[in-house]
Amino acid sequence: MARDPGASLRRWTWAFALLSLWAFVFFVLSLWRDYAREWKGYQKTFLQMELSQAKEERERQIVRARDYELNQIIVAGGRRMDRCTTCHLGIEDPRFNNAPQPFRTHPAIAKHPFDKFGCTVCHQGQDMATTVKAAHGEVGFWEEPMLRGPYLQATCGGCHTGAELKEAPLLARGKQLYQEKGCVACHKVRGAGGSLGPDLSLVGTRRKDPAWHLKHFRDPQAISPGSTMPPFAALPEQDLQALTVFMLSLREAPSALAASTPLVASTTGGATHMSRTAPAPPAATGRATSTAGAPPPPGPGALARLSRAKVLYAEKSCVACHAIGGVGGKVGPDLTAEGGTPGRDLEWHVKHFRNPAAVVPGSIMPPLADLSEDDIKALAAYMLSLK
Amino acid sequence: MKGSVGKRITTWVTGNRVWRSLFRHDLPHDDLGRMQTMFTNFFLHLVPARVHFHSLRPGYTLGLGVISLFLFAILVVTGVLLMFFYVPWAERAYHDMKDLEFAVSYGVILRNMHRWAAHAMVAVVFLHMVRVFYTGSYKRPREFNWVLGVLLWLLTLGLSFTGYLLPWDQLAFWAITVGTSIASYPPWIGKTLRVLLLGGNTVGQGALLRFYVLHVVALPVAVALLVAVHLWRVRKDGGLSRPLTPALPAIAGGVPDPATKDATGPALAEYEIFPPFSQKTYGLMELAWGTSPVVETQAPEEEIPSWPHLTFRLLVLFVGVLAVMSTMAYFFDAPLEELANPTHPPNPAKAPWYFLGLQELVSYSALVGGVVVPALLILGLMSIPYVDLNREGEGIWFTSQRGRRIALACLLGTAPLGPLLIYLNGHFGARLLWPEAPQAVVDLLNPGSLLLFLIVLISLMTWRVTGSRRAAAIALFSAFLSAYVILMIIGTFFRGPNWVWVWPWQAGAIY
Repeated sequence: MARDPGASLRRWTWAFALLSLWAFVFFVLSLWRDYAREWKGYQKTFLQMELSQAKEERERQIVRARDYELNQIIVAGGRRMDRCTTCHLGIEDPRFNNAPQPFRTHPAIAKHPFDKFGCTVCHQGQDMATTVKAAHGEVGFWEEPMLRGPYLQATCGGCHTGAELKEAPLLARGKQLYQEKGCVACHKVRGAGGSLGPDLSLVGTRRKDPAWHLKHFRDPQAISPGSTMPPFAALPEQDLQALTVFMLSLREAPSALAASTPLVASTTGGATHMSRTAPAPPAATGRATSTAGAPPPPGPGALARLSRAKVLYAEKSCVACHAIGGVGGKVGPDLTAEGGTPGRDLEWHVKHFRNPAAVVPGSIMPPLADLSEDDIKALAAYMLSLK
Repeated sequence: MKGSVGKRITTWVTGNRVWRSLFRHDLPHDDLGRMQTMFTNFFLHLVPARVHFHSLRPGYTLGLGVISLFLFAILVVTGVLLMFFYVPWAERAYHDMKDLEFAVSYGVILRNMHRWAAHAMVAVVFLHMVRVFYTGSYKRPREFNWVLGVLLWLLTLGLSFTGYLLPWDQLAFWAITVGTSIASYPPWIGKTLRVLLLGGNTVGQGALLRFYVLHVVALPVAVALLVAVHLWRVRKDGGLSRPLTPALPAIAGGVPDPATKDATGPALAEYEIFPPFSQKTYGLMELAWGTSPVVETQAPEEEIPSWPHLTFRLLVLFVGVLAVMSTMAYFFDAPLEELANPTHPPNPAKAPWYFLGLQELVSYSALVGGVVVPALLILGLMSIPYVDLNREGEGIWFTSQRGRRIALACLLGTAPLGPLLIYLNGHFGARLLWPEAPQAVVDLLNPGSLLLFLIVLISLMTWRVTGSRRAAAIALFSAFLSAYVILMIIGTFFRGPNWVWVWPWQAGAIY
């Protein structure tokens, strides 16, 4: 037993010194971790590129005055905040056409301005993330990894359920193969098809990984044991990809468009109106550079409406008589491009659903009398979205 | 002349009225001055001016109570900062988590620190209770403080549980769904209790708001109040518990007293006593009413000044807690799963880890896991000091060598019982042998109730053999502790989809 009177205090003094140093080291490390964010490196590189591109001194001064900032595009009334432009800084600047990623200019897409649609509505990935891996959704617990290469066409089909898009040839090929290979005999899509296999109406929401679909087409039993689906390993790689794109396109309407889509009804002050030519000003849409969240969405519920309408369309067996995009019966008119039919606005469709024969004399379509006003309007909006 | 300039500046700074009003004493140089400073300083006066040397033994208290307090302080500070970035709104909450991770300055560190400190507090408060039990510190006159301690433990669980929901991810949503379903099992009040907690029948916006208010206002205020009373009572009950026999003769005489043999730590002679030490100064609390052990048994020479011995240790402990928590926060990110999806339950859906023992029991019988065990746990713990009235062995780990052997035997001996009963249940369970058995039979014959029965049996046998209530209490507590920890480990690491047995290295066991 030590008898040194100061021994105890000296021991504790040493402990204090060492623990303080330990705590201080991690305090500094935490500060550094917060300061040295990945995206700042990309912004630094981009500013240097801009600087070298600048022709006048005035331009250079503006670039030099710029500070690091988090960029975000707020869509869906604040429910999605695409921060991709924090690193992808050159997407709208034609001078970066040949720049390496992440700075390259994005090809312009007609009717899809970036500041209204954001990025993740087409590309997927994690909207709010600001590190490369997390933003591309290639991390755990993020269900929508970025769609790469040909699979990007899948998201086109999430909204454009109707006619073929020439910009998405693989999606069109996938739909065609779906018909040709007789998938419809066993599987349902929006109410049309057999019931031997699972309903595929929302398979893209359930299974988001392209690799899963590819593997499943090649050898269904390997992924779902006991499956009776024949393998499609004999198809060329590109056709399997096309089918996968079509599978991925069968999904709920993207939430990012809920407040900014020009194609669905929005409610203003109790009155529901449709504005196809002049879209209602999207609520809280725009560019912001602050990190603060947007105000709560006004809740037009357009997303919910579109999804609800798709469900109603299947439930009410519309598909038995009508076809959309080649899927469905031939008794009634093809609805693939229904939204483009001149003279048919929201009111026309509502009236038509209530009493088809009153609007189209001689129509044998049964009236949808048991549906609520909201459901009817949702269906009408869905019709207008098909074009 | 330089020296005199420095001195003039010092005198000017420390001599003016503002300084004097802030610091009423010069830096004290002797014990008397230090004690006076401690009396007049609000924060310092929370600890006594003089402390029994036994209370300073690290091996006696393990510093667990103080560590709990420091963790609570860290949680309050980080929690308040997090409140600036969080809205308890189901549509926003998950986005706020992402904001904390990707956009808020120091958001990740704050959330990590809050999360790990919360888990640590649940564990440390529980260990503190285990320490207080094994050292017999709940005995007269500290009975009520033990009850307060049990309440504080329950409040800590409540704080952790309510905080669990706030990130609004799959982990949060389903852990609370499962956890509150355990709360719905008690007869008559269960269903109402769950609706009261959730503000509805399922976890939704109502539940989020209720949990948030409980988490940031109601429960922290309750904890702060009870902690104040808890600490105040420690002082009023005569400081920390210690052996009833004066320890000094035993140590000074060189003959180790068997009762204090296990008390580790430096001897009194090792403490530096600062001169002058001629006058004895008694703290005000020593004038308190009642027969406190201070008055009864304590030779004044066993007390040493709190400053620096106690105060400095508290400081070191605080820095230590801070160091460990900041290391955790730096290296390990708090989990965040997918956005809560009420239509897509994970399989298995697990409650927070400290409730997984109960969930394991519920998987056999809702009655045992949801009603009997929680009720026994709370009532049993609270009634310990009113059953074990003998003050024998107070302030000594496990009371005696015999107590130590009993505790060890029960801790180790009970551990294999749980897995064994679960194994037997899998092969010869009541439902297997008699598929149409009434629920009452299953409630009686399942691993949970059999384990409970065995634990009570062990305790009664100990009582019979030793004739000591304290020994029986040690047996009961140890066996229960061991069984619950084992069940918790099984629930955490050995339960996979549909709650079937899996090995931790198999896929899907841990998520």
